[in-house]
Amino acid sequence: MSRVKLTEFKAKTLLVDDYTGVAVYLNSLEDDVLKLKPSIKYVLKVDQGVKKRGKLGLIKLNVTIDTIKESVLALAKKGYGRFLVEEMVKHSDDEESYISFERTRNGIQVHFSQFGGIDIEEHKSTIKKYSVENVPLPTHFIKRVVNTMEDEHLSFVEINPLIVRADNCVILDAAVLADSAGEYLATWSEEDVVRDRVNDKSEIKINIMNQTSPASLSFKLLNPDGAIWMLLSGGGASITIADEAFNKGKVHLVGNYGEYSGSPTQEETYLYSHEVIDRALRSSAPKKALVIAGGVANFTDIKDTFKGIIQALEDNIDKIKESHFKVFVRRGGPNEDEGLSIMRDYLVKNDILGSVRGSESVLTDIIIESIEYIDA
Amino acid sequence: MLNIASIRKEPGTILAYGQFHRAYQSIIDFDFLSGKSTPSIVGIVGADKKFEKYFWGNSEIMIPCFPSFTDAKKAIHEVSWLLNISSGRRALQTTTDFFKCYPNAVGAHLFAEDIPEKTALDIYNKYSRNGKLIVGPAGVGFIVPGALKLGVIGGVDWRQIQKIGLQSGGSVAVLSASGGMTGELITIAGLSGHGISFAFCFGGDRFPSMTPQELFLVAENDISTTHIVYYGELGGYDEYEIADLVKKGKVTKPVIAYVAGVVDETFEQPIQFGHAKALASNNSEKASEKRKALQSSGIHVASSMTEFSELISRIKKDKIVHTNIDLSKRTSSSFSSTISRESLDGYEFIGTTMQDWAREYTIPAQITAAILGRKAKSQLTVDFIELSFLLTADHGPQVSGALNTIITARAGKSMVESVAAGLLAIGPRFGGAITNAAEEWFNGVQSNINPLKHVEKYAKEKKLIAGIGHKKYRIDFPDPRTNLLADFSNKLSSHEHYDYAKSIEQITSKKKGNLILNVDGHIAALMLDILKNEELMTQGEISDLISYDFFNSLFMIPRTIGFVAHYLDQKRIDEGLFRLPDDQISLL
Repeated sequence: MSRVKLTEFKAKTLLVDDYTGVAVYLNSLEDDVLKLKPSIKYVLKVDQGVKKRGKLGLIKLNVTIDTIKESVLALAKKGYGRFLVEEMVKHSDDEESYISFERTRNGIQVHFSQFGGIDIEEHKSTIKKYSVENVPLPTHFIKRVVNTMEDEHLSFVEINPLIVRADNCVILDAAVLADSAGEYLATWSEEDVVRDRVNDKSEIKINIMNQTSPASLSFKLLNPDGAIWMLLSGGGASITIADEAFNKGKVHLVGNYGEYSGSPTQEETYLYSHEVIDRALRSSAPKKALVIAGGVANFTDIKDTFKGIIQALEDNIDKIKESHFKVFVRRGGPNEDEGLSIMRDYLVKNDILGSVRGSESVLTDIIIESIEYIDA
Repeated sequence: MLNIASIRKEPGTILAYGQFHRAYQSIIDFDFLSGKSTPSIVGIVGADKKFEKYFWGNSEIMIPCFPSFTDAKKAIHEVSWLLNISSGRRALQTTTDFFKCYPNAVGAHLFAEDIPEKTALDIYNKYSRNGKLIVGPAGVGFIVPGALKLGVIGGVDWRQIQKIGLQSGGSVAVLSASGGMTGELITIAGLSGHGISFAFCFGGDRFPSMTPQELFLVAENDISTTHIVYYGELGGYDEYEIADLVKKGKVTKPVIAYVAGVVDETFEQPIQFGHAKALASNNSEKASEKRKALQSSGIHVASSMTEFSELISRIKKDKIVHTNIDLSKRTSSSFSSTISRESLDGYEFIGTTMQDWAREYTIPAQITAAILGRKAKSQLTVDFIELSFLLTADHGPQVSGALNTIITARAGKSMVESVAAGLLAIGPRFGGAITNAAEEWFNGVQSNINPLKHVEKYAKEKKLIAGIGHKKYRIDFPDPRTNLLADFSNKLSSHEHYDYAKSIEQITSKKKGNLILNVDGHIAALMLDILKNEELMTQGEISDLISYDFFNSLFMIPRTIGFVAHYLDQKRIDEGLFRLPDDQISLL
C-alpha cells in the first residue's frame, strides 16, 4: 500500500521498446554472462535501488564478456547481488538532460532540465515544471512514458541522464516508483521490487510473513542490542509512540521499529509477536522492556490480539523471566477491559508486569515508563 | 461543500456493501444510543442471503440483503450513503454501481486500504469533483455525534460509543490521517469532558478524496465547532497548505495539531511507515519541517502526545449528555419468525389477534395471509384462493393421495397417519401440476418464448406440458370447473400469464382435442397474474415463490380437506383391512 522502487532493469524493460539490457545475478552469474556478446563494451551497474551509484563506485564502465565476472565479484564483496549490464552509449556530458514524471491529484506533473547527469543537484534551479502537453521533447517519447505509467501503475519516473538526439530519446538511467496497490493490474511483480537489504533473521522472517498475509506486518531492526522492544499496532499510533523515544533522546535504546495492523488474525499476531520476542531475547542488553502498545482501536479486538501475544510470551516465558524483562502494555478499543485484564493477570502471574494501561492513559506514557525502568 | 449542520439535521440512510457484521452492528448501536427511531443502515449489498440479524437495543431486527445494487434499488428507492467494505480491487466498480443506482446519494466511505493510486484518482475525478463526498480511500470513516456514523470510526464496541459520549455532540472537530489516531483523539476529547462536533478520518493514502485542507474549511464553516484538533504524519505537503489557510484568515478557529514522524529523522534512510503517504522523500516532507510550517501560522503544534492531550483537555469543556444503557445481556436467537407471536391480547397471527381474525375476516382471507406472509392487498386474491380451494378439495377416491389415506385408514391407523399418508404422495406426478405449470407460464412470459416454439420443444422431447390435458374433457366438451376459472380472468385488469397459457392451449388442442388447459393450468396462470398485478410482486419475488414450492400450497391445503373427509368416511364405513386381490398384481 505504498510506492515501491522497481529495479532499473524492470523499469527500462517497461519504458524502452526492444530493451537489450541484461539482468545479472550473483546466484546465476555463469548463466547470465552467456547472454552477453563478445567484443562489445558494456556498463555494469548495481541494480538494488542505491542512490548516487556513480559516486559510490557501483558503476563499472568498459566491461567486456571477459572481464565481467571479475567486476561482479568485486562488487559482490561490498554486499550486492543484483546487477544490470547494458551496452555503452557513447555521449558527451553536455548531452545529458533530466526529466521526471510524477502522478499528482491534477494529473502527471513533469520536471525537466537541459542539464542532467550526476551533478543534477547543482543544477536544481534549471529544473522547471511542465505539464505533459508542453514539455519541449518529442511527443512520442512523452506519450510512451505516460502510457506506461498508466498501464503499469507507476507513480514516479525519473530519467537521469536522458540523451535527446533529434527525434530519438535514450534513457541512460531510470528510477521508477510503482504503486504497490496496483501490482495486480501491472506486468511487474514483487520480484521486480527493490527492497532494503535485510540481514537479520527476524527481519527476513517477518518480511516473508508480511508478503503472505492480508494484514500489514513490518519489522526493522534498529539496534540488535537494544533494551526497548516494541510490539506496536496501527499505522499512526506506532509512529507517535516511536516519536516519544525520540523526544526523550532515547532512540538508541530502542531495538526495533515495526507494526502490525490491518486486523491480523490471532494466529498472525502470535507468529509476529513470537518473532519480535525471540529477537528481543537475543539482545545483550542487561535489562529489557517489551512495549505492547497501540492507540484506541476502532475494530481490532483487543482480547483476541492479546491472546495471541500471551501465547507468544508463553513460548519463551522461562527465558523472559531470566533476562530481567518487564512488559509494558497500553491499548484501547473493542473488548478493552477483558483484553487488559487477561494480560494483567498473565504478567502478574509470571512477575513480568511493567504496567498495563487502557484508553484513559496518554498513548505515549508507556514509553516514558519503559525508559524509566531501563534507566533505573 | 460538505455541510455538517445539514447532516445533523438530516443524517440520511446507509447502504452497506460487503461483509462486516461488527462494523454494521456498531453503527446500529450508535443510532440506537443516539435515540433514533430506526437504524441508519437500511440494506446490505453483496451478501448471499435474504436478511442479516442485528440488535436494535436489546431486541433483534432483520436488515435486508441484496445480491447487487440493482436488486437493492428495487426495494430501497433512495439512500444517502454507501459504506463500501469491498477490497481495493473491487472498490471502483462497486462505487460506480452504487452511484449509477443512486445518483442522488450524498456520498460514500471506501474502507479498503489497498486501492491503487490511479483508482483513487479516478474515484476523485468522477465523484468528488462532481459534488459527492468520498470519505477515504482507507481510514475509518466519518462521524457526526448523535446523527451519522459512517464506518468503524468511534469503535465497534457499544461501550466505546457510550464511554466517550458519541451519541451527543460537542464542539471539537477531529481531523486525522490515521484511523487508530482518530479513535485516540476522540477518546482524549471524550474522556477530558469534550464532545466532538464531528470527526473525519481522511486516511493515510497518497490521494485522499477529501483533503485535510478542505476539511479545515468544513470545520471553519460548522457552527458547532469551536476548536480543530488535527493529526498529520510525515510525507506529503498538506500542512503547508493548512498553514496558508490560517495565514490568509480562511481558518480562524483555534487549531491544535500534532505531526507524527520525527523519529524518522534519526534513521540513515527515510522509512516507509504504515500508511502509504507516510514517507519523507525530501526535506519538506519531514515531520519537523511541517510542524514548523504550522507553527509559523500560529497553530498550536504539540511536540509530544502528552502535550497534545494537555492542550486538548484545556479547551473549554462541553456539556455532554451521557447515556447509561446496558446492552451486555443481549443474545442472538436461534430462530426467527414473522408469522405469529404471543401478545398481551392473546395470540397474534400475521399482525392481527385471533379474536380480530374471527370478528373481521373470513377463512379465505386468513389462508391467503398465511401463504403470502402478509394480508392480501386485493380482495380479488382472497376471492381467487376461495374459488380454487373450492374446486380442488377432492377429485375422487381413485387418485393416489386419497387412496393412500383410505388404505391407511382401513389398516386401523389414526387420522394424522392416514392423512399424512395421503399428503406424502403429493409430488411431481400427483398434485405437482400447479407448481410445474406455474413455472412453465412464468418462464414463458418472462423470457418471451413464442408459444409455438414452447409446444414444439415439448413435442420434440416427447414430454407433457404441465397444466395441459384432461382424460375426459375436450376443447369441444369443456370442463365445467375451468369455465368458472376462465370467468374469473375477466375480473383481472390484465392477465398475461393466463393469455400465454391459453395460447399454448390453442396450439395443443388443435393437435389433440383433449390437450386443453386444465384446472391446474388455470389456477397456476391466474395465480401468477394475481401475484403480479393485484399483489404487486416483482418478478424476483414471484420467482422466489416458485422456488419455495408456494404453488403447491394451492393444492396441498384444499386437498387436505379431501383426505380428512376420506379418512372419516372410511371409519364410518369400516370395511376392515384391505388386501389387493391376486389378479390385480401381475407377478413378473
